[in-house]
Amino acid sequence: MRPTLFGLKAILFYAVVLGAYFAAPYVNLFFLLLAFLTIQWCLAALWTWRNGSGVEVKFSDLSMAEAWLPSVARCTVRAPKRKRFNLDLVLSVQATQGGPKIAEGHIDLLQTEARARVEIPPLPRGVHPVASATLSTHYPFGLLRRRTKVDGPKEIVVYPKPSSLAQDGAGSVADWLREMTGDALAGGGELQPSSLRDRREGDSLRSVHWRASARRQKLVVQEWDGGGGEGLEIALDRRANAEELEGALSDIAALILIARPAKEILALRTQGLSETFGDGHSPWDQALRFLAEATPLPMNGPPPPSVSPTTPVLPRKVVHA
Amino acid sequence: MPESISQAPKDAKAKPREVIQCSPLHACMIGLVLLNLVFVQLTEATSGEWLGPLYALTIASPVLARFKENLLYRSLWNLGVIGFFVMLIQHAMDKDLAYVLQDGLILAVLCQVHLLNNLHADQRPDLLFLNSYLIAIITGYITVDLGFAAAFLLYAPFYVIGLQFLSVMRPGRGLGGPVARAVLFDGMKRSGVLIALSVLAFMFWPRDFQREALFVKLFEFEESGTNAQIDFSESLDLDKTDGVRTSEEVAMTIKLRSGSAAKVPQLWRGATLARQTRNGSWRADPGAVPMSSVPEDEQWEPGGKGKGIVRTLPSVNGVAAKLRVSRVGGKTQRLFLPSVATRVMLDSAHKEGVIRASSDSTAEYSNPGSLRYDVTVGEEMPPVDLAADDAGAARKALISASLQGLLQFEDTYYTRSAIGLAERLRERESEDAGSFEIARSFSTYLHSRYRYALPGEGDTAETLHEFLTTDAGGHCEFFSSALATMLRAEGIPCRVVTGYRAHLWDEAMTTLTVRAMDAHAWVEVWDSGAGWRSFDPTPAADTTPDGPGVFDRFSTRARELWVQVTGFDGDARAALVGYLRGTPRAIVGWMRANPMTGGLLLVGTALGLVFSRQRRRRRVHPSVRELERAFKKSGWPRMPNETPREALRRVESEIVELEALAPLTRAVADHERTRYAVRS
Repeated sequence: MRPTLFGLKAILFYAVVLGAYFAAPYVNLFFLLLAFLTIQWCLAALWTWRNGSGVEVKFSDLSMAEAWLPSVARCTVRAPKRKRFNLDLVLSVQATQGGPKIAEGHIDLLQTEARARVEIPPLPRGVHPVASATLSTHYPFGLLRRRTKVDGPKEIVVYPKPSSLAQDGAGSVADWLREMTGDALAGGGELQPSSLRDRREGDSLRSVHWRASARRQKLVVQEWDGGGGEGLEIALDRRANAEELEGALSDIAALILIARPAKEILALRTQGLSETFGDGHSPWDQALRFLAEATPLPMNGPPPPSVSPTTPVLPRKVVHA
Repeated sequence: MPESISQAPKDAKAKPREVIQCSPLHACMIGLVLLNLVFVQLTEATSGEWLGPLYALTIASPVLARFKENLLYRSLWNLGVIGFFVMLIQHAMDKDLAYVLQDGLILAVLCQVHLLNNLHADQRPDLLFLNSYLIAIITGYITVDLGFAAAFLLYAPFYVIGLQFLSVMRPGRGLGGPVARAVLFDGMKRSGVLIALSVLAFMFWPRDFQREALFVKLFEFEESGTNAQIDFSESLDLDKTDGVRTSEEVAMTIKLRSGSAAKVPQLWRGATLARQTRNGSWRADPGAVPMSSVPEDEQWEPGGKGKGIVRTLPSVNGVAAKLRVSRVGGKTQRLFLPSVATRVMLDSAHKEGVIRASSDSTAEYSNPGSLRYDVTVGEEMPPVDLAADDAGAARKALISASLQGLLQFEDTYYTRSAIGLAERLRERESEDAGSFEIARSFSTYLHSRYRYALPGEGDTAETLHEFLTTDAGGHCEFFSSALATMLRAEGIPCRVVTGYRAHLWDEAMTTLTVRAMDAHAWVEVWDSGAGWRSFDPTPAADTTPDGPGVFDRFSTRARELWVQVTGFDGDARAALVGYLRGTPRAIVGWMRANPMTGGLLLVGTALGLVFSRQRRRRRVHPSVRELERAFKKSGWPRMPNETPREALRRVESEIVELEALAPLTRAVADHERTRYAVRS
């Protein structure tokens, strides 16, 4: 236990009072007031220690966080027998950029069991180790603070901020995907286009009509009669500069966030990874984790796995006329 | 499982005017500051004109909070504090130290009120708490008063609970109702524990009750004439007309070691004064032989191997009582002794100093401060006629030659009324009335015709002349001065004596407690036939009410208890420990003597403990209790193992009227919300 800032001021105050007590002739009342102050300090140590003892903290599995958005870590706090007040939960996160960050949660009053939220501040893309998870309290008098280490998440995985599929600039993802995949998706099989409509949740990526989407600046799907191909394959060449790679990772993150709820399949081919994600394949969290960890490779690095010529390759190469 | 109970969400922005976010904390701070003002008021160091506005500003703090961002408001506050500080400096340069103390106290509480009314949301009120305790200590040092004890008992919970609210306070967030209530009840329990442990430490912690100050000189300062404290003085000044403070600070305790309590004297002599000044005041004459003595005074002689003094008094016989006197530390060197004391022995702890006895039967110890000594008092006999034999006649002649010092008086504007009164009263007495008879008559007249009042109280006399000729009241010094002047005007030798009047008798502890406010003045009259005899013309002016009312009795008992606290010393602690050690034996003895009653009490206590333990185990959540109450009130109690919802459905199927169902529906919804709602 250590004194808080208020505790340090109170220690100084106590020292002054103690000095005055001995400097002045003995008076019963002065002794009584000094005794009150002394006992307050002793009980502060005891009660603060008791307030923080016997408290169990269990963090739920931490879901992945989007870059530069605050997120929440949930935990369950249990303390049998008596009430606890003013409990602070702190995660010390070693952010890959910008130095350590603090995620804080607070419980004013704990009666047996409660759920708490630890607010994680916005973090950059990456896998950030959690240096420590502590439970601290300075109740009841705010003079001393007790810190106890608890079992918390070991790391926080932050995937890149997904790009918008209707973004401005040098061509949208939709344009690009249309160029790269439109023909492959348009023909083949027994599918015959019937009509276009706005994309709804659950619609598969392969049914997106990219040309129409580019024109309308929103995702529209082609309604087909018949079957078609399976999922989408994306190649990622990490031999790019950091900015280009970030853009590519954001694009892939956007695709993942569309594919996941739609129970779609997405195959990702890149240096060090050639996996298919989705139902019956590798989990999506693995893909997001890869996106979180991915780093650029030098230009003379190994190429990505070979893919079909129609497979879109990221980062997008924008050709200016 | 409930979500964590936490404060209002972050985006619930505080109102701009609500600077301190936590209302319970603010309420505690208001309480602390108000009690600080009460502490300062109890010192009587300042008038209500200064404290009244501060009280008002403290109570109005919630209203004034809305102006905290206003520049004019803040400027006025800062100017007020600076202005008062300047006045403090000015007083320090112009007047004496006592004013600095008074101004300092006002400045301290003014700073508290300033803090209370000017703290921002991002400022912690740490300083307010520390300051408040400092004010409690300083005022407690000055005011050893029962009122202070009562105020501190109120102060302690505010202090403890306030600290707790301060520790849970989060900037920018309010505090929910359930949390505030829980912290409040928790704080009250902790306050009780703190106070109880402090009292135990006070009673049993070993310490030196006689400890002197490390730096004595720094803490000595002359009291100004105004607002002086009533205490023993080696002079009698009738021109101190401003208010005085009564202090319950213990000056002396007198414990009966043997003999009868009825024989313990009430008047304890400190100094004798024989020289009158022009305005009727009295002084001691520091000559080689005090004017207030007579060669035939029964003088003290060394005894007890140099650690005591003894004398033989013709008017006193045998040993009536033996007393242990403990004089609390102070500046005086006087040994306070009754007129019937025949032997004084110092406690063995006092090795360094010596007793010096004067020929006026007073004595001093060379070292000031705390002192313990044993006094033997004799049985007072009827006056002895010293002139009964031939030697007595020769002695009488010798005495008359040395009595000049005891007969001189001033004939001035201030004393002429006393002289005239003496002439008128003397005419009523017989020609051959003796000195004592005349003194008794004069004393009774003053006692019955004049009113007692302390300086500073309403309608008090400022001079001896005003005291004797108007309805204005006066204190013991006026009465003594009047009697002494009257007697000397009639040629009766006398002297004024200052000391203490002891009257607070504690039956259980067999102790007389003498407080500073018990300082007293009376007159000793010399009769050539019988020696010295004391006369006290002052009417009883005991501030402890002895009325028959419940409040009066409570007030008296509270004062006695408080005096025991402030006068607590090693002897008192030893007595307390002895009492506590003897209590179990006494209880066992009582139970043996009363087996039936004792057995019933024991069984009843055991049953009570078992019952309370079982009740604690069966404790239900408050919301369940409320729910049960609602069902019972509706006339449709819950069946065993029936959930609240099931019970409500059952009742709904039976009752048609919605008004009858509404309270039950509400109770069930409240219960579910309290027990199970997820709080965000």
